[in-house]
Amino acid sequence: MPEFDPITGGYVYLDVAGVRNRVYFEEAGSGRPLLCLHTAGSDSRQYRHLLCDPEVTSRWRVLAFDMPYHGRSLPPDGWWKNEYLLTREAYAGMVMAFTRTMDLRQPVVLGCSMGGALVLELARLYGEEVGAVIGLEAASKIEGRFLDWSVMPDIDGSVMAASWTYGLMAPQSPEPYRREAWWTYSQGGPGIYRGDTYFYSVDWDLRGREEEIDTGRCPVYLLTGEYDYACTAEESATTAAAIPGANFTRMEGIGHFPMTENYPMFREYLLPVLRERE
Amino acid sequence: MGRLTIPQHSFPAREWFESLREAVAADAEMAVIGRWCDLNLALAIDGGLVLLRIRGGKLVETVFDPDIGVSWMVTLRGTLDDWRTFLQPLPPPFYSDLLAMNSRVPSFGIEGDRSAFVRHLRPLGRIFALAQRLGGEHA
Repeated sequence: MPEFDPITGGYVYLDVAGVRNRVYFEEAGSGRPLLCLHTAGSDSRQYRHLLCDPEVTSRWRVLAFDMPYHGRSLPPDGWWKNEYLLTREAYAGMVMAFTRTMDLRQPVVLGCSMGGALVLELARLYGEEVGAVIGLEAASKIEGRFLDWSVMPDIDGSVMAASWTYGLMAPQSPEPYRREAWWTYSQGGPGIYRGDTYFYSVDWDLRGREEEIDTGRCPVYLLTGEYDYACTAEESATTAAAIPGANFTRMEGIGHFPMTENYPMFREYLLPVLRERE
Repeated sequence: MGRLTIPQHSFPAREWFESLREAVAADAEMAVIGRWCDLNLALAIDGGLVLLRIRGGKLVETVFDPDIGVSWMVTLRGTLDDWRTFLQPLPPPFYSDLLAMNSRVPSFGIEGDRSAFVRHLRPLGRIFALAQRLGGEHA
């Protein structure tokens, strides 16, 4: 008998700001929707462990999609004529288009790094539609991540992005999973990791606006690994403290890619949050 | 490194670098990814300097306190405490990676031709992962 993962994949067309996008997504389970957002320069493969966790999928419909330019979602027509720079407006628009097109009602949106930043923006702008948000490795502002190295002609951008992000993980996370994160990062398109960092390191800035998030309407959970040096646990704690009613948890022995680098440890932090939102 | 009293096999004693040279030469991954790695890299440790000449992904020469006639491209500068905290199999947060220390440890820096450092990031990451397995302190 062949062995299958319980994940199914598909393509959905999303019209955002007059542009038609063919977007790849994966899903597993049934129940309340849990929408997962990948990190800069990566794709939905980061959530394969979560999508295969029966303790989650028995209660949740887990979905993860590849942003355009990432994974199996091709760039829109004419991509070669534009510098890829992800903006707050474009990113939020794409996630809400997916949510509405897929008819996800009151989803819990889980995002990591740039996805973690985006969920805070969703809570601020779309708290009526989004049931709750879980931000991993997120803070009001992440500085210093928008760099040109990966597009320099004398640098292999795919290897650079993979090796640059490898050190964000905790050294005690299992090596095969850390290497998997490296592998998926090495498959990003040219300039895409850089263009994603533009969103959370240049364009978006929540500082001073944290109180605009109504956690009575849209509860906020922030979880950050202690080994993450791009977004430190202290920075996440500061953001959580500025959002009235937000929850913060420091994850010991974990780095910047919790769901990928050490899912067994990460789920010990995630499951209590999901139980609260069932 | 004459100002420091360094146990014979601890970082940055000559014997420690010899152990690192052997580990890099024997590493299967470096045999795959190191072939195109040629770099002169200096480690600044408190007041001292150790120059590593890397050719084809192998440590072909270690020069202690190089004189004025010697050049290199990249310097990794830190205190002895920085280096010893980094050189452990399980360093604490912000000390597990060279870029992490560059970001979060004020006394540590990546200096010189940073483009060269980034070009060689993958093999350098492996060399220093092997160095962390060696550990920095030995009685």
